[in-house]
Amino acid sequence: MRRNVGTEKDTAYGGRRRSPAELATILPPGTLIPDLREPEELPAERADVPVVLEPGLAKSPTQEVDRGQLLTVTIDGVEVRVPKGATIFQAAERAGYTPPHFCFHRDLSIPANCRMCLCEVKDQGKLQTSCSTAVADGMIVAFDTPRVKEAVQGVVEFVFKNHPLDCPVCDQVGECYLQKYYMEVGRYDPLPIERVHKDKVKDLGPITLDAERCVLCSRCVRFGEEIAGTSDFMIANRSDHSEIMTFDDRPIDSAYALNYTDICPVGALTSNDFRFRKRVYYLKSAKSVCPECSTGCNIYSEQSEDTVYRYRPRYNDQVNDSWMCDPGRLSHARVADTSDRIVEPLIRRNGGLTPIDWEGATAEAASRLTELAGSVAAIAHPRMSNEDLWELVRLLKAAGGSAVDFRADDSWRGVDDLTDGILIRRDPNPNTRGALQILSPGPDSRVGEILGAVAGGGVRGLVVCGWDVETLGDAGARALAAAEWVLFLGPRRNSLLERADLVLPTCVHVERDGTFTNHAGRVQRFWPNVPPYEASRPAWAALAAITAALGGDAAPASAGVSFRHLAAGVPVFAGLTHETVGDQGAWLAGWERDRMPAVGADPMPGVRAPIIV
Amino acid sequence: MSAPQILMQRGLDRPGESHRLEAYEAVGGYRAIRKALSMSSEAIVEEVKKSGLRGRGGAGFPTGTKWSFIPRGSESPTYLICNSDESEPGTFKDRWLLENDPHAVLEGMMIAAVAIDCHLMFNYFRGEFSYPLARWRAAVDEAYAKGYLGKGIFGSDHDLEVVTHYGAGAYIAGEETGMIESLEGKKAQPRNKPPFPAVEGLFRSPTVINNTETLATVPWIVEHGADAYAQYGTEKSRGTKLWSCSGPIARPGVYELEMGYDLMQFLEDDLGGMLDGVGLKGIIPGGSSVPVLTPDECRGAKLDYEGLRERGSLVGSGGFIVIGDNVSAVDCLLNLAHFYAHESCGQCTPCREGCGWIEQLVDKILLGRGTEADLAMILRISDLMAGKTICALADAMAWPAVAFIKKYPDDFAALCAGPVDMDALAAEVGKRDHILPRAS
Ligand SMILES: Cc1cc2nc3c(=O)[nH]c(=O)nc-3n(C[C@H](O)[C@H](O)[C@H](O)COP(=O)(O)O)c2cc1C
Ligand code: SF4
Ligand code: SF4
Ligand code: SF4
Ligand code: FES
Repeated sequence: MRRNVGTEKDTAYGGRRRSPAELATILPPGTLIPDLREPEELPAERADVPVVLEPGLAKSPTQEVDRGQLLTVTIDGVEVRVPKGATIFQAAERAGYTPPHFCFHRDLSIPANCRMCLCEVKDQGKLQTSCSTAVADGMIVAFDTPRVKEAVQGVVEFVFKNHPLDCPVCDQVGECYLQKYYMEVGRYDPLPIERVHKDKVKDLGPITLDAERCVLCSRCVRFGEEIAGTSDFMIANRSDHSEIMTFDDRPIDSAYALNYTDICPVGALTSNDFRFRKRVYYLKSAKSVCPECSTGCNIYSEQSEDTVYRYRPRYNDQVNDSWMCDPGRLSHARVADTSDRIVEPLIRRNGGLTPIDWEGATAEAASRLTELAGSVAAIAHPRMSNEDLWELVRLLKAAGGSAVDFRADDSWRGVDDLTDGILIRRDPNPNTRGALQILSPGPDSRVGEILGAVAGGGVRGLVVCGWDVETLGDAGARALAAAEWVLFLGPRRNSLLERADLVLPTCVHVERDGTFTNHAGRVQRFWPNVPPYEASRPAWAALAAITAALGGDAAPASAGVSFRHLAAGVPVFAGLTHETVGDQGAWLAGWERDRMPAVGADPMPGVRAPIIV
Repeated sequence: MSAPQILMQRGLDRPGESHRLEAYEAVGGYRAIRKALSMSSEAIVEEVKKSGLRGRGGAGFPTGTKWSFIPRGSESPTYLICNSDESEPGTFKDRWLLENDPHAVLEGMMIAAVAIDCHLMFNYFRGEFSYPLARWRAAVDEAYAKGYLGKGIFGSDHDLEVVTHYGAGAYIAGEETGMIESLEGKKAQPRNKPPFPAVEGLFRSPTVINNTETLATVPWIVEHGADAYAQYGTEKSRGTKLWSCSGPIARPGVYELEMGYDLMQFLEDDLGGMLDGVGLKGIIPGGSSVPVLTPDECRGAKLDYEGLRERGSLVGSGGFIVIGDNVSAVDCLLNLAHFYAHESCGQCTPCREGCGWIEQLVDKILLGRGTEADLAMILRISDLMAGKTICALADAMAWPAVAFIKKYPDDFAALCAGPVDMDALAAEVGKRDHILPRAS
């Protein structure tokens, strides 16, 4: 089955993502637009680097890239082969060197205005901007020459001419391109110069703008025009009075505003959510996946002293490119909030819940399930990982039960619905697609049926994962009243605990590893970054322990092993392992996503030939 | 005065009425376009090519060759833009043409339009040109009234419309791709090239941009033939060129000279020499963007593309600025730096920051607070700007800066606080010198 990302629609914010074809009509001719197809090779990302500057991996420009035709280029003596139409920048990356850059961003058009990526091309008098110059066969390029070095040093010096010396109080420190380049090529020779002064500390809603720190790379202008469609920023005035601003200083009204803070190479645009909360070099990053909707944007979770301070998009050209939405990003606060977390396993004794250790809880669950002799059903949750769901299926099988579904509310129906033509989908769960595949529960929700059976006494035991009484509704209330035994699994307390006989605390995604399957059938892996909260355990581990206690197979040693079993048991997962899923994900068998949404019927060429009347 | 009157004759002969259609036609105006309409477009392009006419906007690119780059039978329309943004300091020749001979410009545009199969042409005016604009508008009205513009011009089957547009006073809108952006309704910021306008220009369509003077020359060429035009001037610099002359000279103004005219003869005979009591300090021959020439360099120099290049300068826009020995080179450079620092479009880092930086440093020197290090810094900044940006504005700042310091080191040293080691300065200049235009 093939799935599309959805059709292009106007966003709630007035924005609309533009296709490369459409962009080509509004950008100056010849502007390269990095193409959105899968690059042939991705650099191995380094999880051990706490904060990574955008690596700037260039994809081929859309214009006339002929992947069938490889050209040979020499970069500083290293010979590489790149497709025809690729840029020198891209070839340099192939050769293992990322040219310095401010304006170039792999998911935005290429204006070549910062002049940082200059290189010498044999037999050409002038230095060339590598980001915008296409390679020719046999081209000999050098970055490592005195002439190039002086020019790059010069650009850094020019930028510093009017840059405030704010580093001690600037929140970009540690992930600032300018700081990095200054440390590499700066002259360390402060000159007594007069600086042009511009606006500082302008509150733009989600973002604080410091126009003095801006290097005028126009990345934000392009993001607003080309990705968010909200065109928030402009560069007003000329010469060294050029200043980045929003029209009339209006606050930014976009669900993608915080991406501006990622792409801004310096401290001009900083996130009001994150600024001054932590120096970035104290943060530890782990690769993760955003759990806030069925798109499953790839992210880094970043923590210090076991507190998650921020999420940041992680590049994946099959899912989110370099972007994520603000609600998803801000959900880190929910993870850091432990006020309603369940601390330890709980058992109902004398009408109240009292703590019990995991061993006792597991034994209790096994003995109650044995007593129920197969008269048990489960309501899973689309926030559970593929491994969790698989272990739930195994447990039910071991217990002799069978009825399971996860569709306690209607959110699953929106699994493919793109709300804004960009990233946000209507289904707020990360693993609806995985649940639909692993539980294969039929076209319509059977939750009502399950609850009816429990209420009617036909089924005596009920396993509830995460859901609360309110969501389960009247049918749920009747079922819970009638059930002989209720097992609750989840990370947080809710109204269901009032009725549960046994409560098992589970980990949230940043505390454990596993995989989610996004709406389009892309299986994506996430890694732990903080230890489990108190006694909580990954749901798969809690469930597998009970299965083992029931006399079923031994519990898998890790989520990876559980996933292997899943791959052997559910055909669309066949052949996948945590390793093959890697950090860029892998398609379910037979699923593949078309890279770009179809271009809408209403092209918006910004430029039209005048009509004479 | 040895100059043939190709461009200025009509305006000088009938002052006060030469801008009228009637006056223009009385001396043979609008004959060339009729002739052109009977020729094939290839033949027109060939004729202009043969004449050796080169662009008068600054770069001196062969006009016929530029037209021949327009793809034939392209699906998108072709456009013609007349560049009347004339904002280069010291340049006021296009203005003279637009005020005194607007119909010649219009006829030249018509011929170019026919040659490149264009049906919509634009004249982009410098925003401050209100008087030339009024005369131009009147001329366009006259032409429409006569059926020289609109449907089927001159009874042919060629439809041709003209749009008059005026800028908001940005020098950078004179750069061809900046102008295109501006005409498209955007901020005038030059584009990366390639693609060149002939391939993708205005509204992504093939576009020819020519300077006003270039276009005003075309009717004469078509009427009298390429050979007649090519008889004037030198082998590589054909024809005549307008020079707008300013400074402490007896007779400032706009002059038409045959290419290859002797510079000093021009100064002494035609311009009447320097004003009493003022000596010659130097001449900027081609508008503020080109390097200044010292009196020594002026002697024997020829006013044409090769002649000036040989002296390390350029024809540029023909803004002939004479500098008297009563001003300091530091003052001159500050004046220029102030202009470029105000006019950089601000896209490219080196130009955006470098122009203002040079201005600051020159200002500091002029105030007596500069040092040798500041001079070295200006040279270094110039070097880091030249040839490293999207358009040539950065070079237009860098070249004069290096030239002024190189040629008038004493002026700078005199104003610096503290000693200036002249040998070290000369060595520093030598290191940066290669950025200046080289002799061909
Ligand atoms: C900064 C800058 C300013 C320019 N200003 C003008 C101008 O005011 N008028 C003009 O005709 N050309 C100007 N030019 C040159 C144009 O880019 C272009 O070369 C010219 O209009 C082409 O016409 P031509 O071939 O007839 O000379 C400028 C170039 C630069 C780099
Ligand atoms: S933007 Fe970078 S260089 Fe500038 S003050 Fe901030 S950290 Fe320092
Ligand atoms: S605010 Fe940041 S992203 Fe925007 S132009 Fe300035 S430096 Fe670039
Ligand atoms: S060189 Fe200067 S004027 Fe030209 S595009 Fe760059 S910043 Fe603008
Ligand atoms: S990265 Fe190439 S010019 Fe900015």
